[in-house]
Amino acid sequence: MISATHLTKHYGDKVALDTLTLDIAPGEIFCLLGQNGAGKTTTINCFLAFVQPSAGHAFINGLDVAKHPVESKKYLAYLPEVVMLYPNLTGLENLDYFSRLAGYKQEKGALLTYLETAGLETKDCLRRVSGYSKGMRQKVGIAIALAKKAKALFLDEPTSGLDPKASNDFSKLLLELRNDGVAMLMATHDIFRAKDVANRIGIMKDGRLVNVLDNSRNTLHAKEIEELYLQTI
Amino acid sequence: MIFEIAKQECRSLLRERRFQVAALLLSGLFLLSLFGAYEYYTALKKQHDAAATTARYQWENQKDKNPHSAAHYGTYVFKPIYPLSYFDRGVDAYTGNTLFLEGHRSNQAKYRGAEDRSAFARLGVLTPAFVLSILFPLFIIVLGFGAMAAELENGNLRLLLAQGLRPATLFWGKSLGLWAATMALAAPFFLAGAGGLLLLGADAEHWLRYAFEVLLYTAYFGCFIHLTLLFSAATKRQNASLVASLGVWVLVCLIAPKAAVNLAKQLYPTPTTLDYQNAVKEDLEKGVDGHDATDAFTKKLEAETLKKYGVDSVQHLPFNWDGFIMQKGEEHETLVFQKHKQQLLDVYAKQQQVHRAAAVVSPFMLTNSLSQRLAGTDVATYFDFLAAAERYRIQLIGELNGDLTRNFKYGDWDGKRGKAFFAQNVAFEYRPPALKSVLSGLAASALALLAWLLVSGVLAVFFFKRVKP
Repeated sequence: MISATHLTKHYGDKVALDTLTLDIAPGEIFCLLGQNGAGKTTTINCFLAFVQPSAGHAFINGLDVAKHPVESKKYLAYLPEVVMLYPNLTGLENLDYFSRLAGYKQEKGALLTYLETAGLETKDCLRRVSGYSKGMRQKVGIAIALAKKAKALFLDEPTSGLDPKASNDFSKLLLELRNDGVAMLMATHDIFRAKDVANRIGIMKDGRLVNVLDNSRNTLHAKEIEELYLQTI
Repeated sequence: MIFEIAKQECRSLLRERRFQVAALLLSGLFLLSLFGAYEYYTALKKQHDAAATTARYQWENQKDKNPHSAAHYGTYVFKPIYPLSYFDRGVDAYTGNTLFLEGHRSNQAKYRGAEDRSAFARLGVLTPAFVLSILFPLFIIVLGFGAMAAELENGNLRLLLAQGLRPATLFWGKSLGLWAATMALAAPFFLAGAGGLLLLGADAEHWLRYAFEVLLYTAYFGCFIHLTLLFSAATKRQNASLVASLGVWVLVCLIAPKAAVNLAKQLYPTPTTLDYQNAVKEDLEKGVDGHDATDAFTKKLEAETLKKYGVDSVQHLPFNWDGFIMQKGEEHETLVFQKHKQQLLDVYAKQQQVHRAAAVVSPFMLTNSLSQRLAGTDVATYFDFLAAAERYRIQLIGELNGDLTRNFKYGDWDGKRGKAFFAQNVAFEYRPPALKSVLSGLAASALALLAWLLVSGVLAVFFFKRVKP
């Protein structure tokens, strides 16, 4: 569902992403660990066609995203680290707007269900976003991703700003999506969260995917991952 | 999709404090300008209508006198006030309101509106056209400078594009949304302006002119909407976008018009009043003077005329020599004044050409000239009025001198004409150029404005596409 072959991005002399080859199947969560600047966001940017790769290809559902920047978006949803939204609109109106942009007109009830699933209280849905906390905006972002019913989901440090309870609920939500057959690529600093949800964990350094750990039976321990992570970087 | 974005943009703007504050301010200013201009013009129109009636009454009821004395007595004509001049005052305040018509000379129009106003009024501020052409663009900039830059800065753009939105679609949606928000504020004003026309009892032609004004300003807003969006995408940062847009506003609305006027004057200088009068005087002396029997040209004409009719003195001519020589003098004077006025008009025409050519660099100047032309308050319409007044003068004086020549005995300076004669004299009637004849002259400027709209739009799309989230 999500795949890359020799994906490379140079910025002048600097290599931001170095021959990444990756394949994420439906119902699989792949977590990317790495320091800031290791290439996690560049990877996601390549899949979203926000960045034109210097070499190699990124595919969503078999579509080369560089050649089909708009069509490939039909199959993916994206949750950024910071969801700002439109402060003058309510959470519900924001969700409605972003869904319409994706081509879905949905009933108010259905939209409220997505927001509820994302963990936003119904009374908050009708308040303007200017009064929201970062975590509440993040939840609207999650609802936007859910409402798109995408087969591929890209998450860029999605749990930053969420409290531990919300973060835990979010993990459960990701596992439900995984059971529904969604392929997910998540960039994160949160080793514990990665251990809980990931089928595989990749560690990046200087644009290279250096290590890939298998966690398909959820057998990894956070301590092991942390040690390997510290050794790698 | 475009409509979804436009709806969202408009809804978001309407809820914003800066929109509400700016809208409140602008509404206040606009209503004030509308009210002030309306009051001023109804008062002025009443004054002019009354004065025109009085002038004619005085002409018809002047004391019994010789027709040529009546030519010296003279009469007044007044610049007509059109219904739309309350909407766009144009050059109205700077052109003379009153023209004194008499024999032997072609006078300049006098009594400009700006003369007896305070310095504040002389700036010509706060007419409805001023609010629409100067203040509305500011309003658009304040609303739109962040349209793309803010989305980029706060990261919404990534989310938008991840939803599968094309940058060009985003531009058209934003543009339409900004247009809707601007029109939400402008529409009540346009309606209020129409209310003024209704009260003034405008005819169908003026309603049509007004409809064109509305279209014109709508297109003008579009130019600034596109420019604002263009800079929002090109600079990628909100503060830079605001500075760039305001810079263009200053250039286009404040500097360009002044520069164009100066350039026109530099290239084709207007003669000073003194030079003009001296040149006229010099030429007047080179021809017949009806009031000076010793004048060499008069003597020559006299000798020729006597020879032609085979008589030895002017008493024996079959017509009144005095009336004849007065009309000959009048014809010479008229030619001299026509020549010099034409020279002056040629200079003005060349200045206007420079101005029109320079206007291409500024949608403000294009809009301004179009709006004034539609309102009938532009320089060309004013000159058309002056020309009509001069034609009328020639006709009236010709009637008087003709009467003297045909119907009075030579030397009969005591013969008089009374009310019955003066009431039959031709009356001044002026109709400004009809809209039909005006429209073709507007095509070039209108096309230039459309080109601005189009080019700024295309450039804006280009920059929208170039933005990397």
